[in-house]
Amino acid sequence: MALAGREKSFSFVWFLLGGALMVLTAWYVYDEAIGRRTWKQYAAEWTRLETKRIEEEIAKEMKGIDPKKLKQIELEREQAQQALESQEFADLQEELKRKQIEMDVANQDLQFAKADHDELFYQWKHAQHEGQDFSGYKKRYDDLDAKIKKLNEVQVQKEEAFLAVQEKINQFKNKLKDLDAQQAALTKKVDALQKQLKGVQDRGAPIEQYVLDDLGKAGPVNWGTVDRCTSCHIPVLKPGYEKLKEPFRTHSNLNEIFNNHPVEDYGCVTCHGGQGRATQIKHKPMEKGDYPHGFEHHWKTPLLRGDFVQSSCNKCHVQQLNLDLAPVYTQGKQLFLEYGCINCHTVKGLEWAPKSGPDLAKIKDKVYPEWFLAWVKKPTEYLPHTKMPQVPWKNDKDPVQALAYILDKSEPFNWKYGKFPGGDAAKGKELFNTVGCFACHNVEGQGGGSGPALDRIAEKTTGDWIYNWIQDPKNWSKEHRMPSLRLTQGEAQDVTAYLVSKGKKPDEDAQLRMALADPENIKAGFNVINTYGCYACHTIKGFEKASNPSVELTNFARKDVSELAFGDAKIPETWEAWTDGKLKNPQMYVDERSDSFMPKPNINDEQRHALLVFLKGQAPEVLPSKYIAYDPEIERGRRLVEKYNCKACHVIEGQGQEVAQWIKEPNFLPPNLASTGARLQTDWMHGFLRNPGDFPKVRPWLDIRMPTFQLSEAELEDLIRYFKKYDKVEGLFEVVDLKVTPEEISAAQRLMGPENFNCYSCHIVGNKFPEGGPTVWAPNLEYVHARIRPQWLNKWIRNPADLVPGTRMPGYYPEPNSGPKDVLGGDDERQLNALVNYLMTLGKKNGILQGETAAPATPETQPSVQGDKKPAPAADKQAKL
Amino acid sequence: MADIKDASEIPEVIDPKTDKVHTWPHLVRIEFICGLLAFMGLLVWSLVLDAPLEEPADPTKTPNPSKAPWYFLGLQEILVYFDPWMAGVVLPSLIIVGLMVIPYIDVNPKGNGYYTWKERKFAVANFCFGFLILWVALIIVGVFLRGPGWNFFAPWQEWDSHKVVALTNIDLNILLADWTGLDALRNPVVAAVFGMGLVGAYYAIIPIYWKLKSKKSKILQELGPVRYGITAFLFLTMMALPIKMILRWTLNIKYIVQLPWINLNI
Repeated sequence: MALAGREKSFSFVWFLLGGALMVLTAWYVYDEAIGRRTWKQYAAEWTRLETKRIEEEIAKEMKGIDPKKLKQIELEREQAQQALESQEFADLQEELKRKQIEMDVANQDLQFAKADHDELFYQWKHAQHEGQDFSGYKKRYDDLDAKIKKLNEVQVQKEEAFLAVQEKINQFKNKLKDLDAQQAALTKKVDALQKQLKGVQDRGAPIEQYVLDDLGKAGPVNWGTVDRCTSCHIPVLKPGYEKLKEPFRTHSNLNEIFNNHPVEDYGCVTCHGGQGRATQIKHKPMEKGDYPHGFEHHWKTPLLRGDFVQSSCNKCHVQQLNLDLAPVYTQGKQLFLEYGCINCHTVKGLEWAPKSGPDLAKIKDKVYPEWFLAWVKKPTEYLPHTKMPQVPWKNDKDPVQALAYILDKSEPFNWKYGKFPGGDAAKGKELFNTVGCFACHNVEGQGGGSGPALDRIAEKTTGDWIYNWIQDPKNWSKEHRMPSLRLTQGEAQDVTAYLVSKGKKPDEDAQLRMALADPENIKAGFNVINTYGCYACHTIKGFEKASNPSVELTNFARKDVSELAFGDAKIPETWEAWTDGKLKNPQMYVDERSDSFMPKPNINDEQRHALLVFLKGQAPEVLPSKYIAYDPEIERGRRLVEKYNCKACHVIEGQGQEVAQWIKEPNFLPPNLASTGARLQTDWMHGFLRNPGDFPKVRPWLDIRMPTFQLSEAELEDLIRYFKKYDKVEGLFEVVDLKVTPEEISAAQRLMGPENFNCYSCHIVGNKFPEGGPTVWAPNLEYVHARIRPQWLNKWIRNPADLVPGTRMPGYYPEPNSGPKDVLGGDDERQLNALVNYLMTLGKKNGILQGETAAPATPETQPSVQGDKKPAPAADKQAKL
Repeated sequence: MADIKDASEIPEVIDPKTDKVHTWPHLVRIEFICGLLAFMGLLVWSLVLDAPLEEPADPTKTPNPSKAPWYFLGLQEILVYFDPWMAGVVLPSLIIVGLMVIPYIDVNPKGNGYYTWKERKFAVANFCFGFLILWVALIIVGVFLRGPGWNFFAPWQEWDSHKVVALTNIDLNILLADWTGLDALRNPVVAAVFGMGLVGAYYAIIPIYWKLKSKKSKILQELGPVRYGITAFLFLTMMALPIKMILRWTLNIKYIVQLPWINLNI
């Protein structure tokens, strides 16, 4: 048997192995130090960019400095420096050293004596405690006491001597200091920039990170997060880099977002997604292998790009309807509610949502069956912008059977106002376009989209029904949100006449009517409705206890692609593509073994995108309560504002007033409700919201009417609490009972008079209307005492624009000491108090003005401005002058 | 490591008759080269391929497929063919016990200190079959070829979590009843007795083979009846796995014996 390799030399093998090992070692070091540390490249790029920027700024600053001045300082500096090299200065320094030693010696003597003193005190007291003789210690203690006093004096002396010499030296040096200061003042900006430059160049490539223990999720478990994003996105939290490209761009809406979401508490990944710990990008950013942004097969929450970042708001704002900084998310959420998605698919935070479709309990007395069938078959035929989705009817029989059931279960309507007696359509049209119907209903291309367009209303229903409906909507349905505009019987007749002229009654279809009355169809209708889920959006008798027809979507965004059925659809296998496809065509994933009864929402591309963003947020987390942004009182109010479409007419929270598109004159618009909670007294709000018709009009020149919403007591309370809370008013109930003195009356009357603020040039008082006409008129001051809170009034008179942006009311006390100097000694606060007290008593019943002789009477007897007729003595005098 | 340049530096061969040389340097230098190559291979591997981490654990989400650590995947693969009780308890215990008794049942002194196939055919073949086929190969199948739903995927196939495989496994007694028309086999008690009988018959090979061969076979005589019995029992038990696998692949047999009363099915 051969002794394999015994004689063979392995030199060449060793050489090869050694070489390969060296190459591998070099590769390893490169990989470890550079290859895997991609953030360092960005740090280097940032240093380069910043160096360039700062150097350019330095060059710019240097141009602004006079070089002659600098040279002059430099010369003087040299001279001063020479003075320091003289013999005199050297002697002084020598002397200073000597004095220093003397001072130190004196100091040491004193300290040692004090130490001895302490020891003696201990020995004395110790002996005393032990009952021994201590008089010797005491004597030595007292002697040392005297010595210390002397030593103290010596020490002070020596110190003074030292300071005297030092002062002399300083005089030599002061010149130099002064020159330094001069130079520093000249180059202050440049120096600061130089310092900044040094900071940038010394920065290196640190890993910067935010560590959050209570955020970061996998399933129901908090893992905590470590967000290292700012290692590459270096200036993201600094203003001024908005125009740079990523990763060096300043965060958008920097202050608005980070004031409420400090990065130390929220991190980055919480909102943006991605893998916060990672720092290596393997190939290119935003491609597979970009670990920090989470583009890796196993990272389930990659970076949310574009509008999708707004979906993260849902984590904490799940209960809120409106987020200013997340408009797409907000739109999606509102669409989800308005289009009735929520009625089939529950999501966390919106469980309270009511049925989005109208109540069908009395439908038989409302619509023509011919219209009804055409409508359910294809709603967009009648209303192109309807929120009713397209039901995927599988055959022609199903809709007929569904309607047969619904009509059969219909209850009789109480025709409270009888038959429609006819009216004047032209007048009705004018009314329709003035009293406010158009805020919600569109006719002839004008009007809001909250309610249905009424261009073909006569195809749908009868004049009798419209006539009854508009006079008392609650008589039709307790749940319906349609308000009453307090039309008189005549007005109702005219409006009805106008509406019945829109469209024409459909021809009667005897065959259809027979089919609808067929008991077989009625019976089959139950199953049809059950299958298609009509009852989810509409109240239908027999389905009171039926459960949601479809699945909850609360964790929908967590669905893995493998959990979504793509059927035969040829689309990218992603969550986004699937969801988008489902909204585009709900039946697109149906194959031979599956079926879908989801109706197709009538939404455009933009709306679908918004819904997608909202759905992408359906991955709620159980966060610590400090992160949950939710005030139930505010949100309940906002829901009512949305439900009753208040924002069609009013500006609320800075948004709304669609009607401004059609009412061109700003003074004819319904009021802006900014600071309403602070403005109005609870009692008045309550009464007014319950029925505005109970009150005289504060703005009598407005044609558009505040409707009577027939709100429940609970709704009233919710609305009032919302406005109060939103404007940070504490407590709902206040007693407003201000008194006014005669002096205040006369002062107020002078202030409000033509020579000063000239209030009556715009404000109506009682039945006295200013000459300027309706475009200048302002609210009737007679009702201030009943409506307005004095705290608000005080601020309002000071500077109204603070409270209601864009108001026509001028501010009379925008700054301190801006009131007239000749009233109440020119004291602003007293003037304001006088005005508030006066206005808060003006027009109040049962007198008021205590201790006052020339008091204005109540508006009951004398509704016009009191001051005009019975001026107080001071004002009278003023007027004569 | 010093290299050997001159034949005179080579230490003497200890015993020219037995053809043996010193471990140093003849063996050690070759081992060192192998070590270096292995080390470099690992280095390149670690540079090129990052450790394949999966997603962060989520207690509410069971991964599909749920796999044991790789070294247990052979056992997990056995679960396809046997009940957990057999695949998870009986068979692994027998593997351990079997390995432990090898020194006591192996009476062949040959092969000490050198490699031989001719002199230990049964032992080497047995080990290779048991380790390479039944352990390593099953691990490879478990790691690379089992996808979502523990379905079998060829290496070039995408792991489709929606893959559907018809479930048509059938118990042996039912299969026989279908074939023969003997409905008595459908009775669970009859089936249990029948299945037990089959298993008994399988192990009855042990005494029958002894009876037939012990007189002529030197090996059997050297082993003696006890060591033979143990060896044969372990061997047959090992072979039961491929037999069951083949029965499953060819006849879709689910169980041969069913004893639902004690939760034991074979």
